[in-house]
Amino acid sequence: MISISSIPNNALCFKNFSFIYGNNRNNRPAISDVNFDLKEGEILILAGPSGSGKSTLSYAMSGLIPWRLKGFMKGKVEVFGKSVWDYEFKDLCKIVGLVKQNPIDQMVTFTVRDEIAFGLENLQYTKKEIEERIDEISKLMGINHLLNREIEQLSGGQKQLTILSSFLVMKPKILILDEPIAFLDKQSESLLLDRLYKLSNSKEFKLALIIIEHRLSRVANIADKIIVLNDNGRIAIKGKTSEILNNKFEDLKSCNVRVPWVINVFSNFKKIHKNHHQFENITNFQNFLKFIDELNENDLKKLRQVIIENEIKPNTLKRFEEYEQIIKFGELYIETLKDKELGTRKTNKQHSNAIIETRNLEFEYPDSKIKAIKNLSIKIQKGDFIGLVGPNGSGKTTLLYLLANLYEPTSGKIFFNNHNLKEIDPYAYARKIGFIFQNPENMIFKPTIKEELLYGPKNFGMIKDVSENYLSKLINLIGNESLTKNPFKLSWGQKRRLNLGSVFIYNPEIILLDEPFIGQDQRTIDSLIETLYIENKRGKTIIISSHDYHLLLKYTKRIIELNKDGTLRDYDENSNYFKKHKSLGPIIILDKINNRLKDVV
Amino acid sequence: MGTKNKALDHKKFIFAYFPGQSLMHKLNPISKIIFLVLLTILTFAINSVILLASISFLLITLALTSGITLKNLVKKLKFIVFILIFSVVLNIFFNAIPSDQDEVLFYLFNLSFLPIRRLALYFALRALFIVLTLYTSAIIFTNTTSMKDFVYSLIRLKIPYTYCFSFMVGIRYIPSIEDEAKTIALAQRARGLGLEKINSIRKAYNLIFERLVTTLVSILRKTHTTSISMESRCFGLYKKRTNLIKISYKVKDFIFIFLCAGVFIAIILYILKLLPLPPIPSLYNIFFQT
Repeated sequence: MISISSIPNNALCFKNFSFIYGNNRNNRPAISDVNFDLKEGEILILAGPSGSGKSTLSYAMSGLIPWRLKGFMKGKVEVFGKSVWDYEFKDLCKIVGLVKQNPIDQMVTFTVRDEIAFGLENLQYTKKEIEERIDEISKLMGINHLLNREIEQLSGGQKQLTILSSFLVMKPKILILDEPIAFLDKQSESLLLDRLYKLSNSKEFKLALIIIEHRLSRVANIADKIIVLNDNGRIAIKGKTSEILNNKFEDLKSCNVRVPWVINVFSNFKKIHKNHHQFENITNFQNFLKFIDELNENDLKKLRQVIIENEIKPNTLKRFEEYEQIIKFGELYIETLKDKELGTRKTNKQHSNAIIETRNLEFEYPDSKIKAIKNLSIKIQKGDFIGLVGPNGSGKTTLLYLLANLYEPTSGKIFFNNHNLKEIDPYAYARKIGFIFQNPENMIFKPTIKEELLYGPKNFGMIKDVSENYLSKLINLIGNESLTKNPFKLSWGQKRRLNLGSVFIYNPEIILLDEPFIGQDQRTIDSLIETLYIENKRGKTIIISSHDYHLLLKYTKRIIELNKDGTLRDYDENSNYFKKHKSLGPIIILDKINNRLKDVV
Repeated sequence: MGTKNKALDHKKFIFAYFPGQSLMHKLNPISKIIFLVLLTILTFAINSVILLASISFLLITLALTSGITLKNLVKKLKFIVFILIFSVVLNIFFNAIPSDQDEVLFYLFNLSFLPIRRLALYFALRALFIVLTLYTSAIIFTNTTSMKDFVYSLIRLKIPYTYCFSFMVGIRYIPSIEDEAKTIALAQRARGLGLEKINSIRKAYNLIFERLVTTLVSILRKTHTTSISMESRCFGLYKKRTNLIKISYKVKDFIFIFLCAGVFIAIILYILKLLPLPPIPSLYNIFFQT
């Protein structure tokens, strides 16, 4: 017999919940008709495009709605069987913790210990209790050796663990995490997810976890339930993870989220094999590897084809033609500027035709003695599409800044079309480079979209060459918006596309992108990478730094991996980086299939 | 290093804190504030230029014993000394009222249109030493007091903690705002602004205005996140909160405050001529009334 206490309680229950911000009832609701429940010790993934109300829902879960944010609320929210209205805010915030995306913005004190103590101090715990709890939590999270560190000295992953601990120390029953892995590299990411999984399963905490994340592929294996919101703030899909992944997978794929690739490959494979029914549910990687062992030669070849089509080769770009219609670069003004162009001056051409080459490049930040870039020599060919990967702090951003001539190397040289960068007019060089920064808002300077787009051309003195026609075509890239709209009022994804437009407008030869996908939803990511792919086909050189190996694997031709010790690995199509890059799932599987095929033959 | 990377250089800001082990470092920030307050009152109460000058020199010695090297101190004082010398010259010539009371002491370079008058010279010198004293004491305070200790000592002073924390968060923000502003400056550069010399006011205005607005937007976003994070960690729910860190008063502090108070009272009494000591001769007495 099961005792009553062992039946998990309903931690959260939403019934017909809707919310409208502001004072006007007629505003568009940020969220409407949300129904779901979550039990103790369960993990829920909340996904959806940006602007779909994920944050609003998280505020409602944490009690900020209705206690701190103004608006109209309909429906019921119950926390542990009691309506939120029956709680006082202080009781509610003891039960629910809300961790936002960027850890550094949430920290208020100077050291790790103070930060963890912050909540308990507010709740007037005694010093002794606080010390004890800090001790306990920091050991649990594995950061007890960092307690006296200054916040500024922490790595990204450590900051994330610190801010997480600062909530956990208050012993919440429900914890909400808003894109907790956005800023983390692979290593810190798996560490964090592992800790979270343990927390939710531990008998002591029995945490109900809500993770907001659209890359289901990253988090689906620890989740019990999934909710996907649509653009209107309504629930598009909800249910148990296994059920959704097995039965509603096609619906999920249409929902603007990143689906787990293993299941994606598997479900596509099943389509070819309609009469095959010996294999049913494969939701994880290990099962997939076992599954391969059971296949015959014919199946293996088919499976290999499916993997290559889905994971290795870029999508068949239907949009390419539409895009071609939108922006015809043939009619571009740039043609008229050709004779002014750099590097077309005929010089004694050396053997290399690299567009950018670095020789023994080194860079050291002025007040640190550690070299961010160490003895780096690479050649980048015209038309390369390069993915720049590596853990946090390996110097990816620094390298991009150096290539864009925004930083000056401490030693070593950079060559652009065989000219030393130092001898090239920085003004002319800047026009050759388009740089996309990590935060879309950091590169918006003007009060209207039109001015923003013309910002570069104006500074480069080429504004007369931009035709109205072309401008209106670039607007299409952003979406149906008026030219006089304030760019800060655009959606997050639109801002990102505006950034691209404002760089494309002066037709740079090289486009450098620093973590462009952080905080973007899947739809924007897809449209960005496809746009870049097309630009690359048109001959632009593109270097993109990202943690998103899967995306890079699919679209880029070459991957440069920087390591913290300053070493570098360069994989290109010829050296077959697919085979060498073992950390990637699809490659491991391909490898396995190839080996099996050898055995079979 | 090229000019481009200069902006990257975390140039030691004049009033930046640096850690150390000197007496001033170990004192409680409140003791130091008391010292500052007494010092400020004194500098305005004292009339004697000689006394003011000696106080400034004492302070400079104190700064040198507080772990600030002579080279650094010179660097930190260079700017203000330059301004002060400039102001002394202006004061002497333009603050002078040609009257009988303000007698002409001598003519500079023996030129009759450059008279040096007694009162003008006095006020110029007095202003010089007052500013120098206050400036040096501010350097000593900020260089030896970590902002963290300062904020926690404010809390100790029973100033409502919500105010102290807004101050603290402000300080916590500085490095990240600095980073953000740098990135934004680079973003401007990448699209061609600020690459050539800024040769018109309009260009300079655009450069700064755009940078400021974009930075402000990012700060506003940050504050939103911060406030939500603080709220959901129960900030401000109760009037009082526990404070893990307590900046304690040590014996040193009491001795220091006691000494400061003693010297302060002695000097005030002396100024009020309540002490049986001969008055300090003025510069005029020394140089012109032999």
